[in-house]
Amino acid sequence: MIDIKNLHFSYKKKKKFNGLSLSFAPGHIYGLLGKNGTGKSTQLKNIIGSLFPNEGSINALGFVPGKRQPAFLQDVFIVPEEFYLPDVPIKEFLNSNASFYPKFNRQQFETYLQEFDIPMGNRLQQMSYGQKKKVLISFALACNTSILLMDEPSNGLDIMSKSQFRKVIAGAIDENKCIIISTHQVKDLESLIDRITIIDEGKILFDQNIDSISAALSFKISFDDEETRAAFYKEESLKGNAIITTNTSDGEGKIDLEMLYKAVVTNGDALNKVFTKSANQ
Amino acid sequence: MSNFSFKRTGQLIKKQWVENRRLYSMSVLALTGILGVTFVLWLSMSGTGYNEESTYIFGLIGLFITGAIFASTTYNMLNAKDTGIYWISFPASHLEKFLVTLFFNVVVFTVVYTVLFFVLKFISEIYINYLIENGQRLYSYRRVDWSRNEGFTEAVPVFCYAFFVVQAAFLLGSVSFKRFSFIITTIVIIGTLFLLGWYTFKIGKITFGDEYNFNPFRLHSHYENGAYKEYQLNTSLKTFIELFLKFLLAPFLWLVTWFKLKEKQL
Repeated sequence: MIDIKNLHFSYKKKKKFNGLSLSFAPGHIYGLLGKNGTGKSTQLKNIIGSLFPNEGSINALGFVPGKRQPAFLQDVFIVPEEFYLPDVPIKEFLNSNASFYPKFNRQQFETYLQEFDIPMGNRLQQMSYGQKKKVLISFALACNTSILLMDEPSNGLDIMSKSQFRKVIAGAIDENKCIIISTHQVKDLESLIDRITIIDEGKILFDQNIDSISAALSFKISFDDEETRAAFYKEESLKGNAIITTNTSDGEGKIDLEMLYKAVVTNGDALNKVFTKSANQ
Repeated sequence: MSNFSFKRTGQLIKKQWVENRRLYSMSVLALTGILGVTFVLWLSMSGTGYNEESTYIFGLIGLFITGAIFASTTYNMLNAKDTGIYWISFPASHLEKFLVTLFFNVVVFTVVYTVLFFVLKFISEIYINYLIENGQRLYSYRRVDWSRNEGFTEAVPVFCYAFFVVQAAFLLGSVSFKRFSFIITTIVIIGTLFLLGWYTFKIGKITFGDEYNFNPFRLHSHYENGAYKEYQLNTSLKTFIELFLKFLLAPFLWLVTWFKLKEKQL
């Protein structure tokens, strides 16, 4: 669905990507994690074609995104971190925009709005930032595009809305769609994404699917000093030491994304070796 | 799927209107106000002798200035990340998006301005006729004789061609300069014209000395006995330059604008 090969990109003198290669397949929700300024948004912008690679290639749905052809743009939607909506009522926004997306479903849009508790009669510019974001997310999902890119989608959403957001996203994915969510608020994506890609300084630090992570790693509280010392990552807590170790049991446990992210950033090489070993076995 | 569709372009025009109609309505009101004030000032400052020609002169000046301002704000959306992504990622080709901006700039703006101008001129003329009928022939109104093709009437078509070129230049400026596009484009146009004039003048001076008199297509080199030697551009080259300036310069600038849009990154 999306193939990024040897992507080089820089903003004037600041290099963002130096030979990045990645693939995204349909039927998955990808989580793109990383610190601020590591190139997550840049990657999404390269995929939608608002930025052009300096070197390398991107193939999305069989198109070169930089050409910005209507056939490509009507099957991809981006919810940017900083977004714009015109100063019109929701109904008018719908009437003038929906016809550009062939798979748009009005019924679906209205259902999402109800889920987010947004009345149809509102004028967009009179809404709060969070409400506008919910309208945009509802519109993006109702467009039913094959690729949906979301940059920090949970920013500005209140606690209730964040769980509603997770619910609607989980319900929107199907075998023909690929959703890529870029965020640094890893907690917001727990139990939602099925593949995690962590990038830093334009490099992939970690790229695994949730099943492999659950099978290979164990996230637990430990009081055992030896076990704590051998852990890939540890954090002291009131309940004991929160650690990540190799999963020695057959079962799959719950993943703590925030801990995993910290483990990758602080001890990425050791962590990646576990997956290399698993792949070789 | 083709990169151009009449249906999609029509939908895009509708979208542009729906999303900007408040702004456009306010602009029409502002334009009416500016033109209205100008006509009132003209009526009150012309004494007893009104001249239709002066209405066309300030009308054309207003057309140039407001047209340039309107064109220079066309691509404001591309100057900010949020609006820029909204514009770029919208499912229509650059050609369609560009044609829509041309439609609103060249067609809608020009038509709206012209209609407003003639409506206000008509109202002013009703007032002038009232003054003439009730002022014991104290007042007069001199109309433009369009049958005579000299002076002002000869210059009007040139102003019209120039308007589309100036507007196209400001449209290009709005894609090229992120901030202060109106001011920067004005400086660039004035600078270019100045440099071109200065260069031509210098070449003429070097070649013909003090006898040089500036004319775009013809140069005279005078002799002491009143005779002169005339240098003219080749007729077909002259025709091409005239045609280019009249009909091709604006489309050429539009083409450059379209290419710049395609290359725009945000």
